[in-house]
Amino acid sequence: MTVVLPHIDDQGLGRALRRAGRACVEAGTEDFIEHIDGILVLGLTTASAFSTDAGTILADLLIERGLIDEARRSDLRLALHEALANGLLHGNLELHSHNAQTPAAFLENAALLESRLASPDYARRPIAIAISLNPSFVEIAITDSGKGYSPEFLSAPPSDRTAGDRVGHGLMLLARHSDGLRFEAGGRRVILSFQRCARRG
Amino acid sequence: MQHEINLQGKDLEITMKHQLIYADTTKFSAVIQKVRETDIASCVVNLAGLEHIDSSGLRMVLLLHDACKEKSAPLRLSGSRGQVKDMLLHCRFETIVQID
Repeated sequence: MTVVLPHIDDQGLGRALRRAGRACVEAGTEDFIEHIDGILVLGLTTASAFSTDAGTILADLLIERGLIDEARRSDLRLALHEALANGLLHGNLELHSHNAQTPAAFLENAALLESRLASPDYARRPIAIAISLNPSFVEIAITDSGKGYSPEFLSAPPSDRTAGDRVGHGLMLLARHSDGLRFEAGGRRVILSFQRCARRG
Repeated sequence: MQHEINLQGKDLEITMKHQLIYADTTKFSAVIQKVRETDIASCVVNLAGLEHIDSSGLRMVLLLHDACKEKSAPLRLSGSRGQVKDMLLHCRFETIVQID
């Protein structure tokens, strides 16, 4: 069963995901998720993905269903937030953290973020989160509708960062807190792998 | 993010709760703005109620440090625990900001 939601908030999203069959979509994102595979696919507009805590809600759901071990809750929540931040900020909203490295620049970037979230051209752009299973892993694919990354960026392995580095923590944390990380669709899709919970095999 | 800002004399205390993630950018800009427009001598951020932080949140804390530095006001992070403490230490924040 596909659940179509005209409006989304945290409680409504949690309830809809629990009763959805294959898909749970916000109105207007149906076409975007049509060709995305998964046992559960969530389609949201940028504005709704930003205003709800989809990362925490999905992490809770995957643990509740016994797919990922409770001990990984913090890793899962963090990885989902990092991947969503990537897709929403850098992908759909076309904002870049390297433009916000001073307090003044951060305030400018925050104002730009607010204006883009208020603009239907940006706010209605879809993002999809798809859950797939294989014998050993749960895969979580986050697909945005932005311009993707350059091949050079994608081929550079994430490495450790220290506090002095103002950008690059996100990818490093994605790699560190998941069991696998890869990019597809020119960087518009990030796929995170987490070991399946032994209890449910 | 849920937060409170209290100014006592020239000492600013910011209390943060729940989580600090990418979606809190607009809320956090009000914190940075407050620091920039206030005559402060010190700033303490109480993180005891903060349970989760992502890389955007870490970046925002660094920018708060920079905003305090512009005012020559030392920043101190107090009460961090769990995932937040792990993230601050993993990213070597103690080399830049006082953490206790």
